[in-house]
Amino acid sequence: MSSSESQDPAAAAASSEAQVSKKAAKKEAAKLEKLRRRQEIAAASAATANLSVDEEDPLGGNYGDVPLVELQSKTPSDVGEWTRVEALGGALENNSVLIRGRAQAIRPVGKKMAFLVIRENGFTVQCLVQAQPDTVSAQMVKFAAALSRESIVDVEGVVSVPTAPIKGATQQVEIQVRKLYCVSRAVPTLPINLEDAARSEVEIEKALQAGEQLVRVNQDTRLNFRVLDVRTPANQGIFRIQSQVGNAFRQFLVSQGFCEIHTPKLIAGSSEGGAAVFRLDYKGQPACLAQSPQLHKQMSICGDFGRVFEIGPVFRAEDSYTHRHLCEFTGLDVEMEIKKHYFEVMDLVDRLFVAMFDSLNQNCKKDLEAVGSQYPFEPLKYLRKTLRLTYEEGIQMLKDVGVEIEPYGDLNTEAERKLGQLVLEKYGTEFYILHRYPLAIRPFYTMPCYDNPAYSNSFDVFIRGEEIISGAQRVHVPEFLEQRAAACGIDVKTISSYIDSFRYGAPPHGGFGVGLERVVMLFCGLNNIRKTSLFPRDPLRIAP
Amino acid sequence: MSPLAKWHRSKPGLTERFQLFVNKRELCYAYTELNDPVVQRQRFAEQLKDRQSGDDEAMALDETFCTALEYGLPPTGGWGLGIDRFTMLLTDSQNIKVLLFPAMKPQD
Repeated sequence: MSSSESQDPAAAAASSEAQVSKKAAKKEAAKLEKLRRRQEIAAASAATANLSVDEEDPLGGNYGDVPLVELQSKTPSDVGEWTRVEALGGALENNSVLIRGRAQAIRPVGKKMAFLVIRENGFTVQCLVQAQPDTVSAQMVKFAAALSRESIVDVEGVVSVPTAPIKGATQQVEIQVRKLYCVSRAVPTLPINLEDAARSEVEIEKALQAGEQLVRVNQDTRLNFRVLDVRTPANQGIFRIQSQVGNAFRQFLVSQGFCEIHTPKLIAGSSEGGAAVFRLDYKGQPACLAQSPQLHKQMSICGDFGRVFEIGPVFRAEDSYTHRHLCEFTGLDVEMEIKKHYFEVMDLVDRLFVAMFDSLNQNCKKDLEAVGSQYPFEPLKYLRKTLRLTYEEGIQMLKDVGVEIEPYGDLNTEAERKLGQLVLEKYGTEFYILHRYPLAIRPFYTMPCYDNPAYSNSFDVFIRGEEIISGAQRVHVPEFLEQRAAACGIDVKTISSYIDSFRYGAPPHGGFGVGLERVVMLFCGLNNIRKTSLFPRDPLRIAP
Repeated sequence: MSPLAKWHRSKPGLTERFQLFVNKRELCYAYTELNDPVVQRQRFAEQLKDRQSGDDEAMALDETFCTALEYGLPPTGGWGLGIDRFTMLLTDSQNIKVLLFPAMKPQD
């Protein structure tokens, strides 16, 4: 028994030592492997650099960096010579194809083989560079292995169909490379890896629980290297969805008799009554960047356009550093004559957005999937006939669950979110309109209610509890407009040309403004508006 | 003179650039875009020298742009069309007041 007891600690110690040494050995092996790989790459680069192509390799013409003179539109091209990566399939088996794309992955296997994954517009194909007598030289394999990731290459080769599925590429064929040229070489060490930038939070958490630390690329780092970050599938998806939002907006409105206009962004005085404007010297006179095209689109209605819209930049010099504010964003703005009631404007919002959501769901399936793969989200719930609640009804819903809002006060972000949850629970929709806001919290040009001037003919529209639209019927009587401007503390002299517009006959009218980046952010359930702005401008960022 | 355009393949001192004129009016301006970051930096450096010599139209160095080229840029070309000039042509107008609101005189 004492003998047995004395053996246990020794055995345990030995086992522990073995474990430590095993771990150390593993670490050492990994270190050596890393070093060997680095040396191999360095050797390959050196070999390539030192190689005298004409003297040493009779097959030297099959690979290399494309000299600049060849890229200077030297030869008229037949674009039919090229095959899109997307089009590569079994039907092309044994055909020779020519593709251009980015080298997304480079994996040497010994000295006679290297795999490349080539990416074009999100589609990827595996390419095999294998040394073969009279066809592919060992030097060519070295050249392939020495390419840097994200370089742009031309690949010519023969399509083959492997028996096993190809896991690391979208196309289920392989190209047996015969020629390989580098068109634009990327730096060997990129500041961020696309693999890391494309990684989902779910994947990172899963790996963490398995004891592995995967790289997470932070939002600021992404923006610092935006030209790399936007190459990820999710980012490609986001901005194609954004393009489709603008397209659906334009197509719907044109079909409803609207005319697209382009208004100036350099204006005198502020149009929204706020102090948050960017000021500049305009040829010796004070000017600022427009916070919206509001005044000019109303002037266009006075100019008998009847119905107008604009897609253009909007500038807000607010020090709001939040997940949903930017200093510059894209406004989708609408203005139209009203016959009887401001509901005519809300009717348009309803039909426009249902058509837009339908269009996105039908036309952007692939892009939505790409976004959802990295940033998982539930499809937006919306009704065929959009829900409308009055401000007072909304306030009452909040009160019923114990949230206090002052009777004529604005809803803060938290209250809007809460109301969004309540609306979803009660009505089953994440897209709804809240109208008849207190006049005191709306811009000076907003028309008060006929039956209670403390409220206004105005509305906001929400997706997933966050505002995407502000709209209203406008004041079209110049004397009343002056009165309202003065009441809101605006110097009437700075907007006299606007007010004068209404003295020559002005129809009742209303409209709304939509934040394009917010629509995409909320439709895709993203948590930061910088994800849906290609090159965001916020209080801390004016580059890239 | 055109810092973003590629130099001409065979004629030194020229770049690859064209402009489209219709009925004596310029409508379109286009060039083959330079995609070599080393040459682009040289080009910007020359512009800086020109600027220091008093050429107000010379472009400032855009380091962010040069850095972007280092991450790989395929051969690229493009053009820009002035929508207001095109409208002038279509309507046979003699001045640029086809703009809806040409820059308004600020009120003081």
